[in-house]
Amino acid sequence: MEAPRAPQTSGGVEDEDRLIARAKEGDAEAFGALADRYSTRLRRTLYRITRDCDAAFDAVQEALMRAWQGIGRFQGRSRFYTWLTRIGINEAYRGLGRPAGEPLEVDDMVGRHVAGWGRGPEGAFESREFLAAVEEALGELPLDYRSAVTLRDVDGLSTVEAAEALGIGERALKSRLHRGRMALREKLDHYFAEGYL
Amino acid sequence: MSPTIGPRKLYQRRCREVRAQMSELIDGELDERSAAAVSRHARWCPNCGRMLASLRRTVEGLGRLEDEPTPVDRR
Repeated sequence: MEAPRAPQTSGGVEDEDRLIARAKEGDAEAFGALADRYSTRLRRTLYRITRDCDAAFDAVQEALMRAWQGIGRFQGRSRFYTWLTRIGINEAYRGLGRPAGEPLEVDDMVGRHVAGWGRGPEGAFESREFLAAVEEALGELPLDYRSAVTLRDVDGLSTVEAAEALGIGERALKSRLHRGRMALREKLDHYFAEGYL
Repeated sequence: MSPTIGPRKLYQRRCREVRAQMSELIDGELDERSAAAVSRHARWCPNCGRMLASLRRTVEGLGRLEDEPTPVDRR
Protein backbone atom coordinates (compact mmCIF):
# COMPACT_ATOMS: atom_id res chain seq x y z
CA MET A 1 0.00 0.00 0.00
CA GLU A 2 1.38 3.37 -0.95
CA ALA A 3 0.68 6.83 0.44
CA PRO A 4 -1.51 8.78 -1.99
CA ARG A 5 0.05 11.05 -4.56
CA ALA A 6 -0.83 14.71 -4.89
CA PRO A 7 -3.24 15.75 -7.63
CA GLN A 8 -1.99 17.90 -10.48
CA THR A 9 -3.67 21.25 -9.82
CA SER A 10 -3.34 24.52 -11.63
CA GLY A 11 -4.46 26.64 -8.69
CA GLY A 12 -2.36 28.23 -5.96
CA VAL A 13 -1.27 26.68 -2.71
CA GLU A 14 -4.36 25.45 -0.96
CA ASP A 15 -4.79 26.42 2.66
CA GLU A 16 -3.23 23.78 4.87
CA ASP A 17 -6.13 23.61 7.32
CA ARG A 18 -8.49 22.93 4.44
CA LEU A 19 -6.27 20.18 3.06
CA ILE A 20 -6.06 18.58 6.52
CA ALA A 21 -9.84 18.75 6.95
CA ARG A 22 -10.34 17.11 3.55
CA ALA A 23 -7.70 14.46 4.29
CA LYS A 24 -9.46 13.64 7.55
CA GLU A 25 -12.59 12.98 5.54
CA GLY A 26 -10.64 10.43 3.51
CA ASP A 27 -9.69 12.65 0.57
CA ALA A 28 -6.50 11.00 -0.70
CA GLU A 29 -5.74 13.85 -3.10
CA ALA A 30 -5.74 16.37 -0.25
CA PHE A 31 -3.35 14.21 1.75
CA GLY A 32 -1.20 13.80 -1.35
CA ALA A 33 -0.95 17.59 -1.62
CA LEU A 34 0.24 17.75 1.99
CA ALA A 35 2.74 14.96 1.35
CA ASP A 36 4.11 16.75 -1.71
CA ARG A 37 4.44 19.95 0.27
CA TYR A 38 6.61 18.42 2.96
CA SER A 39 8.25 15.22 1.74
CA THR A 40 11.43 16.81 0.33
CA ARG A 41 11.97 18.84 3.49
CA LEU A 42 11.38 15.83 5.71
CA ARG A 43 13.64 13.62 3.57
CA ARG A 44 16.50 16.12 3.92
CA THR A 45 15.95 16.41 7.66
CA LEU A 46 15.89 12.65 8.15
CA TYR A 47 18.97 12.27 5.97
CA ARG A 48 20.82 14.79 8.13
CA ILE A 49 19.78 12.84 11.20
CA THR A 50 20.45 9.31 9.90
CA ARG A 51 23.22 10.14 7.38
CA ASP A 52 21.83 7.27 5.31
CA CYS A 53 19.91 7.84 2.05
CA ASP A 54 18.04 4.52 2.19
CA ALA A 55 17.08 5.03 5.82
CA ALA A 56 15.81 8.54 5.07
CA PHE A 57 13.77 7.38 2.05
CA ASP A 58 12.27 4.47 3.94
CA ALA A 59 11.46 6.56 7.01
CA VAL A 60 9.69 9.25 4.93
CA GLN A 61 7.70 6.65 3.01
CA GLU A 62 6.68 4.89 6.21
CA ALA A 63 5.92 8.18 7.95
CA LEU A 64 3.61 9.29 5.13
CA MET A 65 1.84 5.96 5.24
CA ARG A 66 1.35 6.14 8.99
CA ALA A 67 0.29 9.77 8.80
CA TRP A 68 -2.33 8.93 6.17
CA GLN A 69 -3.64 6.10 8.31
CA GLY A 70 -3.59 8.24 11.46
CA ILE A 71 -4.66 11.65 10.12
CA GLY A 72 -7.94 11.26 12.01
CA ARG A 73 -5.99 11.48 15.26
CA PHE A 74 -4.23 14.72 14.27
CA GLN A 75 -5.88 17.33 16.47
CA GLY A 76 -4.11 20.43 15.22
CA ARG A 77 -2.44 21.26 18.52
CA SER A 78 0.85 21.40 16.62
CA ARG A 79 1.63 22.23 13.01
CA PHE A 80 1.09 19.38 10.56
CA TYR A 81 4.80 19.36 9.66
CA THR A 82 5.81 18.99 13.33
CA TRP A 83 3.42 16.07 13.72
CA LEU A 84 4.70 14.45 10.51
CA THR A 85 8.31 15.01 11.59
CA ARG A 86 7.71 13.27 14.90
CA ILE A 87 6.36 10.24 13.04
CA GLY A 88 9.30 10.39 10.64
CA ILE A 89 11.85 10.56 13.44
CA ASN A 90 10.26 7.61 15.19
CA GLU A 91 10.52 5.64 11.96
CA ALA A 92 14.10 6.75 11.37
CA TYR A 93 15.15 5.83 14.91
CA ARG A 94 13.43 2.48 14.54
CA GLY A 95 15.38 1.94 11.29
CA LEU A 96 18.61 2.76 13.08
CA GLY A 97 17.79 0.22 15.77
CA ARG A 98 17.30 2.94 18.42
CA PRO A 99 20.99 3.36 19.22
CA ALA A 100 21.77 4.43 22.74
CA GLY A 101 22.51 8.11 22.99
CA GLU A 102 26.11 8.88 23.75
CA PRO A 103 26.54 11.69 26.26
CA LEU A 104 28.38 14.65 24.82
CA GLU A 105 30.90 16.30 27.09
CA VAL A 106 31.26 19.92 26.13
CA ASP A 107 34.44 21.83 26.78
CA ASP A 108 33.43 25.42 27.51
CA MET A 109 37.13 26.37 27.41
CA VAL A 110 36.86 28.56 30.47
CA GLY A 111 40.29 29.78 31.50
CA ARG A 112 41.82 29.13 28.08
CA HIS A 113 42.33 31.27 25.03
CA VAL A 114 39.42 31.21 22.57
CA ALA A 115 40.58 31.78 19.01
CA GLY A 116 38.77 34.35 16.92
CA TRP A 117 37.48 33.42 13.49
CA GLY A 118 38.17 36.90 12.25
CA ARG A 119 35.91 38.84 9.95
CA GLY A 120 37.06 36.70 7.04
CA PRO A 121 36.87 37.71 3.40
CA GLU A 122 33.57 38.92 2.02
CA GLY A 123 31.08 36.07 2.11
CA ALA A 124 33.47 33.60 3.77
CA PHE A 125 30.74 32.45 6.14
CA GLU A 126 28.33 31.89 3.26
CA SER A 127 30.87 30.04 1.12
CA ARG A 128 30.44 26.44 -0.03
CA GLU A 129 33.59 25.55 1.92
CA PHE A 130 32.21 26.88 5.17
CA LEU A 131 28.79 25.27 4.67
CA ALA A 132 30.46 21.96 3.75
CA ALA A 133 32.50 22.16 6.95
CA VAL A 134 29.34 22.84 8.98
CA GLU A 135 27.57 19.91 7.31
CA GLU A 136 30.48 17.57 7.97
CA ALA A 137 30.79 18.65 11.59
CA LEU A 138 27.03 18.20 12.08
CA GLY A 139 27.34 14.64 10.78
CA GLU A 140 29.94 13.87 13.44
CA LEU A 141 27.70 14.80 16.38
CA PRO A 142 26.15 11.97 18.42
CA LEU A 143 22.61 11.19 17.26
CA ASP A 144 20.63 12.91 20.05
CA TYR A 145 22.53 16.16 19.60
CA ARG A 146 22.49 15.95 15.80
CA SER A 147 18.70 15.54 15.87
CA ALA A 148 18.18 18.53 18.17
CA VAL A 149 20.49 20.81 16.15
CA THR A 150 19.08 19.65 12.81
CA LEU A 151 15.47 20.28 13.79
CA ARG A 152 16.06 23.59 15.55
CA ASP A 153 18.79 25.21 13.49
CA VAL A 154 18.66 23.61 10.04
CA ASP A 155 14.97 22.82 9.70
CA GLY A 156 13.98 25.97 11.59
CA LEU A 157 11.50 24.48 14.06
CA SER A 158 10.93 26.45 17.25
CA THR A 159 12.24 25.10 20.55
CA VAL A 160 8.74 23.88 21.44
CA GLU A 161 8.26 22.23 18.04
CA ALA A 162 11.68 20.56 18.03
CA ALA A 163 11.07 19.20 21.53
CA GLU A 164 7.69 17.89 20.46
CA ALA A 165 9.08 16.29 17.31
CA LEU A 166 11.68 14.47 19.41
CA GLY A 167 9.22 13.57 22.16
CA ILE A 168 11.30 15.27 24.86
CA GLY A 169 10.81 18.25 27.15
CA GLU A 170 11.93 21.78 26.30
CA ARG A 171 14.64 21.75 28.95
CA ALA A 172 16.17 18.58 27.51
CA LEU A 173 15.95 20.00 24.00
CA LYS A 174 17.71 23.22 25.04
CA SER A 175 20.45 21.24 26.76
CA ARG A 176 21.08 19.03 23.71
CA LEU A 177 20.92 22.03 21.42
CA HIS A 178 23.45 24.05 23.37
CA ARG A 179 25.84 21.14 23.80
CA GLY A 180 25.50 20.25 20.13
CA ARG A 181 26.15 23.82 19.01
CA MET A 182 29.15 24.19 21.32
CA ALA A 183 30.63 20.94 20.02
CA LEU A 184 30.09 22.09 16.44
CA ARG A 185 31.70 25.44 17.18
CA GLU A 186 34.71 23.66 18.60
CA LYS A 187 34.98 21.37 15.56
CA LEU A 188 34.82 24.41 13.26
CA ASP A 189 37.49 26.08 15.38
CA HIS A 190 39.81 23.34 14.16
CA TYR A 191 38.95 24.09 10.53
CA PHE A 192 39.89 27.72 11.06
CA ALA A 193 43.03 26.82 12.96
CA GLU A 194 44.14 24.46 10.21
CA GLY A 195 43.52 27.08 7.55
CA TYR A 196 40.80 25.21 5.65
CA LEU A 197 38.60 28.28 5.68
CA MET B 1 35.73 31.56 58.60
CA SER B 2 34.29 30.80 55.17
CA PRO B 3 36.74 30.22 52.35
CA THR B 4 37.08 33.13 49.98
CA ILE B 5 37.00 32.84 46.22
CA GLY B 6 39.77 34.66 44.45
CA PRO B 7 39.07 37.10 41.60
CA ARG B 8 40.35 34.64 39.00
CA LYS B 9 37.96 31.88 40.16
CA LEU B 10 35.12 34.38 40.35
CA TYR B 11 35.86 35.60 36.84
CA GLN B 12 35.97 32.06 35.49
CA ARG B 13 32.72 31.21 37.22
CA ARG B 14 31.05 34.15 35.51
CA CYS B 15 32.52 33.07 32.13
CA ARG B 16 31.11 29.59 32.68
CA GLU B 17 27.64 30.98 33.51
CA VAL B 18 27.70 33.26 30.49
CA ARG B 19 28.82 30.53 28.09
CA ALA B 20 26.03 28.26 29.33
CA GLN B 21 23.51 30.96 28.37
CA MET B 22 24.87 31.80 24.92
CA SER B 23 22.45 29.59 22.97
CA GLU B 24 19.47 31.09 24.74
CA LEU B 25 20.82 34.57 24.03
CA ILE B 26 21.18 33.74 20.32
CA ASP B 27 17.66 32.32 20.25
CA GLY B 28 16.23 35.37 22.00
CA GLU B 29 15.01 33.17 24.83
CA LEU B 30 16.66 35.02 27.72
CA ASP B 31 14.76 37.63 29.67
CA GLU B 32 15.81 41.20 29.00
CA ARG B 33 17.96 41.57 32.10
CA SER B 34 19.86 38.30 31.61
CA ALA B 35 20.35 39.03 27.91
CA ALA B 36 21.81 42.46 28.73
CA ALA B 37 24.13 40.94 31.37
CA VAL B 38 25.41 38.22 29.00
CA SER B 39 25.94 40.71 26.17
CA ARG B 40 27.74 43.12 28.49
CA HIS B 41 30.09 40.39 29.72
CA ALA B 42 30.77 39.26 26.15
CA ARG B 43 31.71 42.83 25.17
CA TRP B 44 34.05 43.13 28.12
CA CYS B 45 35.60 39.63 28.14
CA PRO B 46 37.60 38.92 24.93
CA ASN B 47 37.39 35.12 25.17
CA CYS B 48 33.65 35.09 25.79
CA GLY B 49 33.22 37.71 23.05
CA ARG B 50 35.04 35.51 20.53
CA MET B 51 33.14 32.45 21.66
CA LEU B 52 29.78 34.19 21.25
CA ALA B 53 30.76 35.50 17.81
CA SER B 54 31.86 32.08 16.56
CA LEU B 55 28.81 30.37 18.09
CA ARG B 56 26.60 32.85 16.21
CA ARG B 57 28.49 32.08 12.98
CA THR B 58 27.94 28.38 13.62
CA VAL B 59 24.19 28.79 14.12
CA GLU B 60 23.93 31.05 11.07
CA GLY B 61 25.81 28.46 9.00
CA LEU B 62 23.42 25.74 10.16
CA GLY B 63 20.50 27.92 9.09
CA ARG B 64 21.96 28.21 5.60
CA LEU B 65 22.09 24.41 5.23
CA GLU B 66 18.31 24.23 4.96
CA ASP B 67 18.33 24.92 1.23
CA GLU B 68 21.55 23.05 0.54
CA PRO B 69 20.97 19.78 -1.33
CA THR B 70 21.91 16.57 0.42
CA PRO B 71 22.94 13.22 -1.13
CA VAL B 72 19.33 12.12 -0.75
CA ASP B 73 18.28 14.78 -3.32
CA ARG B 74 20.54 13.27 -5.94
CA ARG B 75 18.86 9.86 -5.86
